[in-house]
Amino acid sequence: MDDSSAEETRVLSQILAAQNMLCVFFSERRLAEFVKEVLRALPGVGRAGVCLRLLAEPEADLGLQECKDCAGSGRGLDDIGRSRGKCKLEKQDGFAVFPLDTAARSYGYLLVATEGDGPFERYRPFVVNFANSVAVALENRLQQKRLSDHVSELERTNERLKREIAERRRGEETLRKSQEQLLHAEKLSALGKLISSIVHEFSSPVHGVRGVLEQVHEEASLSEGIRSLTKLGIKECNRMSEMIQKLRGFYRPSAGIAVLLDLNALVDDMIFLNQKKFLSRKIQTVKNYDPNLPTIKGVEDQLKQVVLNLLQNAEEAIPDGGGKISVTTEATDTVVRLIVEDTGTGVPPDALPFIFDPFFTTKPGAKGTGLGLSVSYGIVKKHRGDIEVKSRFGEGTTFIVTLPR
Amino acid sequence: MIKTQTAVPMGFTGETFPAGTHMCLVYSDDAERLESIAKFLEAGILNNEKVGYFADAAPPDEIKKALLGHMSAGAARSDGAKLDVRTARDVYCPKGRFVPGEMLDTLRGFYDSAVEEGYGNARASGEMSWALKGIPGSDRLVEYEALINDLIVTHPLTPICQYNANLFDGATILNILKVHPMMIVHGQVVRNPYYQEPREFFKTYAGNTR
Ligand SMILES: Nc1ncnc2c1ncn2[C@@H]1O[C@H](COP(=O)(O)OP(=O)(O)OP(=O)(O)O)[C@@H](O)[C@H]1O
Ligand SMILES: [Mg+2]
Repeated sequence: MDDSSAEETRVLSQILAAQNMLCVFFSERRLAEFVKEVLRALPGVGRAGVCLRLLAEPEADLGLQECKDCAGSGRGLDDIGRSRGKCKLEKQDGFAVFPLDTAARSYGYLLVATEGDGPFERYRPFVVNFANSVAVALENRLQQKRLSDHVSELERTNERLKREIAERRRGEETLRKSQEQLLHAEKLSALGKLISSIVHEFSSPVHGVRGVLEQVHEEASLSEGIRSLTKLGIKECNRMSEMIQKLRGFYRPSAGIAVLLDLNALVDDMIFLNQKKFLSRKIQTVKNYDPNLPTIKGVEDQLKQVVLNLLQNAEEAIPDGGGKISVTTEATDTVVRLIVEDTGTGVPPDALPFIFDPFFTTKPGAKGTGLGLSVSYGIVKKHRGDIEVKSRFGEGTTFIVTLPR
Repeated sequence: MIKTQTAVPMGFTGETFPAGTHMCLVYSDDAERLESIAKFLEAGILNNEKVGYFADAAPPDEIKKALLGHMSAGAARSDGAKLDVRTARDVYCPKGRFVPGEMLDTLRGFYDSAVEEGYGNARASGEMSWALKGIPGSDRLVEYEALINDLIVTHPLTPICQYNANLFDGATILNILKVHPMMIVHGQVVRNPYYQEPREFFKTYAGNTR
């Protein structure tokens, strides 16, 4: 092998290696730089070097820059003839042009300054080959770009869909909740209407009956037996109007004025009232009062009503063998809690969602009206508090009333 | 002293190469790079070599985790501790400036300590992107790479220098090719036709400042 063919072999292997490396560049700018460097290193390349021009094609958007010599010259890049004489490189005596074409399209061309008809001519076929590889690499870049654009577009769409689904779920959830609340409010207001009409319809007749009975009672000619009956009648009338008032109180307790209350004392009173019953039913009461419980603002008789309802429910849930009711009070920085826990039957799981509904009761016969919890719920809500239940069927139930401090 | 002609496995294929083969890896795909380098390091660990790694793209802990993740379970479990990953900046420019001679001393020290510690050989790989961060002396990177070729004659450690093709400019990449006798292309170690012996290289490089 003579010197020149040894050099030819070396150059060829270099160009092949460079060709192999084209795929390593992801950035077109770096690719173009590298291509220019590779060609500049070829024997016989003139001092003006190499210019890589890409066809201006917005669709391609390869982000490639023109060579330093051409940049900013404002030449159209699609016509060699027109740009002739303006590029430093083209002013040289000789330059060779290598199109950057693939089967699909043309990406531009490489201009290589040559020194006369000198040594470069021998490498021309290699460079043609190399230029083809550059075009393929550009096309690959472009396709990768399109693909990744496409993928990120898909990812964006996917993200949007996910968001939309999550939003819709949230929407449905709030809708469901507000429907539930509406339903509850509706039930309450229907009940309220019913009750106020009952109160209205009943109170005047009861009042009338009592007036009549009172007049009869005053009659001197009455026998003792009859008089005691009228007395009983009047007493029962009073009881009835009291009950009617109470009924009204359940749904229009707005008259109640909030005052500072000692919840411990209030709870203790209610337990005391029930003590006799608890004893007779072998129910032990355990009091865990927080001695430092802060006072809270609330309507006393309403809160008493709540405590009473909870105690009654607890008592009613405890079977004949007896059991235990624990009452706990505690405070956090923001709230005060009352916890009523019993060792009763527990709430059947399928009943749990409904226990705060008006008229929902599992108690047989006339024993329960199903109003206790519903009324309590209304009262606690009005106090900007909350009432929760935890129950293990067969083991017992815990009601937690949270009230703001 | 280790014989210079010991053949060591590179991990890419079953092939072995003489210890002290100076290689570069020019890449743009990070996952592919990690995989190649992990194989190279794993082969070193399994071959009882001292193994060093100089990380720049991410904190050493992260890179170590990623590298171990690419190794076989056995190598990662038993020898993960042997993989010494350090911050490239601290290794190449400990005083805030890059001085080729000092770094070559560091490599010599690394090799000598491997011998003293009873390792059969030594290998290292570095992410060279630290050189793009304006640290004084960074412009002497190519010079340093060329000098490694002299160093490995007496201290045959096996280095792979990693260059991200999308970070370094075209001229630097071509110069890098000129100073690495071997390069890794598509997971294969191949002879680099651009390689020039250091003396040859410096003939043109000194005036080559474009
Ligand atoms: N402590 C409890 N243990 C088990 N079940 C309970 C308890 N408290 C309430 N429940 C369940 O919730 C239902 C509704 O209670 P709520 O107090 O509203 O009505 P009631 O007790 O049935 O009737 P009312 O309180 O009007 O007399 C009860 O029928 C019962 O099934
Ligand atoms: Mg009740």
